[in-house]
Amino acid sequence: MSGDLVHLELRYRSLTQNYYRKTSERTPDYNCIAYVAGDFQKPWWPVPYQAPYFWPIDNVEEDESIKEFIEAFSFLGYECCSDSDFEPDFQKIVIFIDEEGFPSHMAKQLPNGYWSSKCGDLEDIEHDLNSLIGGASMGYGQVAQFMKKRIA
Amino acid sequence: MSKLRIPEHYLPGIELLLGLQPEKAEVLSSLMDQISPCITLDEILSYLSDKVTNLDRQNLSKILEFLLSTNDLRVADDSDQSDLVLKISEAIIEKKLTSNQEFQNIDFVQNRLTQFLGDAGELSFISKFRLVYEEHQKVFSPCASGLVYAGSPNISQSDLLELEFYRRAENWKYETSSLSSITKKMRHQDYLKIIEMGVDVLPFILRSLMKEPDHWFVALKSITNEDPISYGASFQDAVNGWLAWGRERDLI
Repeated sequence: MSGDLVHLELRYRSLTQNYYRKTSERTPDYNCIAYVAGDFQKPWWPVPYQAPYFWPIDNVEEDESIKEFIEAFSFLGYECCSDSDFEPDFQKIVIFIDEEGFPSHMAKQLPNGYWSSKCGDLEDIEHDLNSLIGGASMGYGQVAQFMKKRIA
Repeated sequence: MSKLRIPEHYLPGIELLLGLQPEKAEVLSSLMDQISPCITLDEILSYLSDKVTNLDRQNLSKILEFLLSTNDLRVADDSDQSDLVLKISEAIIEKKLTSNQEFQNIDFVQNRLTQFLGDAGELSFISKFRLVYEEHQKVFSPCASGLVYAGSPNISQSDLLELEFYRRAENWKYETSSLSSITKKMRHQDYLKIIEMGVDVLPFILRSLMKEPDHWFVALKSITNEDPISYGASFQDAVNGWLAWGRERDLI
């Protein structure tokens, strides 16, 4: 089942029990939020005006709530939805939250129904949604919100 | 330069390393090349002992302990890699480990060490597994257990500061490289400690940024109270901007 990225599996043990495969080399150039938004040049995070970290909406005060993330991706044309079911006319994305309820990761759905993630500064992977779910050393936490944007 | 002295407790590990069958040595060194630098001692022992047949965890641990002990030489000796390997090889031969004639052959010992310590730059095994070395230190005090020179090693305060920087930097990378949250990266205790170390670590941060770009921008800004990077710049632009800033000030 596993995709043989030992360093990732050791951090996120759900990967060892579910499908995943590496799709890029590691790079710190962008993070998962930027990846979902389609930016491969700079990491995205709601830190106030600290280059090269970028946030698409005004964030004069530090706000790492899920509301802030939903607002940012709403600004990019996404709307909240209730499930991960593949819909060919829509791009679906998902926000994970950690044990404290703060956003910890984002992933986007691929045309084949699997999901695609940039794992911090490490590799991009194609994976089952379950591959990154779980607290502690299992995954990035729990799925908190699906969003979708019409692409066709 | 004084001669090297090898503490007795490393001899079993050296003997095991030299006694590895060529095919097994090839497999082991190849696996070590493939393993990510961000892996703990416990994890690396489990991983390698699972993959290399007839090499149990205890013996593998002895081999690693010896290899890791060579890290002390990095700060005590300015010699290049091949000279260091030669010095270690000579010290090993002087120990007259067993009746195995191969272990008395300087070429054999040098080749085996080069296979594991690498032949490019500083002791590459160590630079790759610095985190493992850090864990190793929790068990063995480096001064008491590492390979040491018979004379007094000439380790400066600057060397110690650099060593502390790299150990903290590697630990920070290990614990935060898979995180998406930029603030969690910036609030990690080792990152904050590096900022506290102040202007003396600027050359180390900039050299690290040059060699392996990472999220050093907040630390650089905090230490210098400057920010040469415009909002909206790419990660690579930020790297290049800070490196140019450092070059203008002769810091790198």
